[in-house]
Amino acid sequence: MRVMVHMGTCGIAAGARTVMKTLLDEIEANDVKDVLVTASSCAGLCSREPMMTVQIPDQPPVKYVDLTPDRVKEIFSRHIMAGEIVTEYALAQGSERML
Amino acid sequence: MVHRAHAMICTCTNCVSNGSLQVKEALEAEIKKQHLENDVKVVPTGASGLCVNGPILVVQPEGIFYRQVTVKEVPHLVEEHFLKGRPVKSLMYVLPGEEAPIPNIRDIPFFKNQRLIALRNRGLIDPDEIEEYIARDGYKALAKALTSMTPEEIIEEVKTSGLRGRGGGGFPTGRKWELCRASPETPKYIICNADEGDPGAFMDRSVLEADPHSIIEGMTIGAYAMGGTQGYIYVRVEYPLAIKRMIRAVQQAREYGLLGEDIFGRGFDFDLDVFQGAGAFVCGEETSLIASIEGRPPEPRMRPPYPAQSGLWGKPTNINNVETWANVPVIINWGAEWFSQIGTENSKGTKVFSLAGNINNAGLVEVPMGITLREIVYDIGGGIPNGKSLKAVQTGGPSGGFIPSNLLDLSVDYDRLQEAGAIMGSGGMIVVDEETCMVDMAKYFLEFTTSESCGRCTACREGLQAMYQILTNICSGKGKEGDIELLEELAPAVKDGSLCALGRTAPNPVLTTLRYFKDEYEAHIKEQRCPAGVCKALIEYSIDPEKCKACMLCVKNCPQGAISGEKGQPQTIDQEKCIKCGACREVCKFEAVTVR
Ligand SMILES: Cc1cc2nc3c(=O)[nH]c(=O)nc-3n(C[C@H](O)[C@H](O)[C@H](O)COP(=O)(O)O)c2cc1C
Ligand code: SF4
Ligand code: SF4
Ligand code: FES
Repeated sequence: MRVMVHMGTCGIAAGARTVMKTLLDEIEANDVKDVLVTASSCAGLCSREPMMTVQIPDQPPVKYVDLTPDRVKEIFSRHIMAGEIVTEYALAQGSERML
Repeated sequence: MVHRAHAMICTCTNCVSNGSLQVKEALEAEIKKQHLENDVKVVPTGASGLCVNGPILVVQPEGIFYRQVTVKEVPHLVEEHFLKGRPVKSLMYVLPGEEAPIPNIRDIPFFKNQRLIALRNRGLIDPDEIEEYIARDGYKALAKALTSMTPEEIIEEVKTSGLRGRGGGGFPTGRKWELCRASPETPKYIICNADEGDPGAFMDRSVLEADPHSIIEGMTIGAYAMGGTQGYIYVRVEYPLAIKRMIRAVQQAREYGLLGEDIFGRGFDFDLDVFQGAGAFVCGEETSLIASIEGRPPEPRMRPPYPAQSGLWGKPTNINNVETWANVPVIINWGAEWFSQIGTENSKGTKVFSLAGNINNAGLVEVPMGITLREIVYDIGGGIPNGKSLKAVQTGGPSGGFIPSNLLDLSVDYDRLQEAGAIMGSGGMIVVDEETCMVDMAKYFLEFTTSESCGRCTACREGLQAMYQILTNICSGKGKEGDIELLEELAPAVKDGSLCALGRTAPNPVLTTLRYFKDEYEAHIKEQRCPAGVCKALIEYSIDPEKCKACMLCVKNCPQGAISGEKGQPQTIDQEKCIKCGACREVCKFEAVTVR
């Protein structure tokens, strides 16, 4: 499984570093080994930053918006650990139209 | 054969035991029965990791996810989804205890009308890992160009694609490459212009941060086509993250042999360096940028000779914008014909805009050329906040102009925008609402260009200063009869007397506001009135005694203690003390504070 934190300049300004840190802390505290956390870039919707995308293999990726450390913790325990999409903070699933 | 859709049915052990092979057969039969076999292809796939919900069916390209599909449901599913285009909600992936599935990203208006070419990898890859770029067809175009195309063929492909420069000027990219290739002198230099000086614009920064390898790949293809051996990526020093990612990407490309000597064993050498620019607006002008790399003061010089003949260190040089370069690999991969189907007759492909100002969904958007401003502002941008109405859209930053709301159906196209007095520009798009004063906006841009003028041309240095002074006078209530005419006279003089496009385009914000909003200028001058209620010297705040409920909220919020009155009675503002900050109007819940 992969989680991408959107860390363009806009995301970082909106607090993406805190999101990243919270996520890494949760992963370490729970001794999770199979979640890959990476940085990625601005997803376009700067007014809803910080954002992150949770990608469970062969499921449409889910984008979360307006993140705070508490929300990240909730997404960690409900979605990343238990597979339940946290609809309250999810913007959408799937990927954008490319090419 | 190109199929419109792929039905990916999982055939892992678990799904098979849940009947996925039967579902696959039923799908194929039903698709045939509906004569859709040329449109929809059934593909068996491997483990999706959702064993308990099998059989799993994923329909691409929409990315719709069905679970527990049985043979019985197949006819309905095929008819609804593939024939009528209506995904079957009841079969979609819903998690336990959940009401409705969350929407697909392509149903969200902000994303629905976008089309990503330059930003094709945004938010999808880790820009620090070259493998992730390669996994998404990265460097495939370079391989194709180097192993199966001649330089002439590449240039022809870029010409036929109709790609035009995304840095503001809109010059046809293929023609520019051809000129540089034709220059006999060597060595030749290839430059990426990532100066991005327009206030508020961040398109190029975003491409650099999201997908640095797309620029390296585009530049390397360009270098091969033109015969360039050394490249520079000129990034403004205010973009530390972009610089860091770019430098890392260049190192990785070198390690992979995608930069350096004998690339792909074709005897072609090319290397790149990141140059950190001083960050002045004029540094983005190509001749000034060249001067800056050479270590000279960033002042534009006369053209011709064009950089294609005599550029960096007097050698043939080709400069393109970040977004222009990012388009190149896609054109090579997908072909000029495919690319030129997107857009309008003279404006092909997509354009990235940074959407800002009085707009609900501020952000970075990539849209096909030909889309209307209305679609950008209302569908993608989600309209104007706080129930206000739209007044104008500004494109092209300090070189561009304002397009009034009654021209909102104008399409995004180099020619249409120019006809309206604005320009495509590099992608800044500022939306302004009814409470924006157009004279004040024109003044804002002139203040910027006045301070950014390099001072070399008298017309630009003095003329812009004079125009700025007139605008300042008008905004502070000192406008005179004849000021409008004077502005109209100065504008062409500045344009004609300026060497570079900074001076030649700087009057545009004034000219377009004069063209579409002359009544606002006149109200300031003749009636000493700012219709939008912005120019402090021309407005007065007062409290409507009919509406005032004596809640005293404004009294508490006034920083000057300018509001007073008896308890329980309508309050009044002391004009002597009032500094026109507007705080009282913001806080009043009864709209009792008016501005005039
Ligand atoms: C004052 C001034 C500023 C400019 N700033 C930029 C800039 O920030 N980025 C850019 O790509 N082009 C900028 N340009 C345009 C460049 O001179 C040049 O036309 C462009 O980089 C060519 O690339 P293109 O054909 O891919 O658009 C500027 C021009 C002027 C006159
Ligand atoms: S037009 Fe203005 S910015 Fe351009 S060279 Fe002349 S003085 Fe400098
Ligand atoms: S505009 Fe500002 S200073 Fe004037 S009365 Fe209102 S709150 Fe006070
Ligand atoms: S059951 Fe099909 S993916 Fe595991």
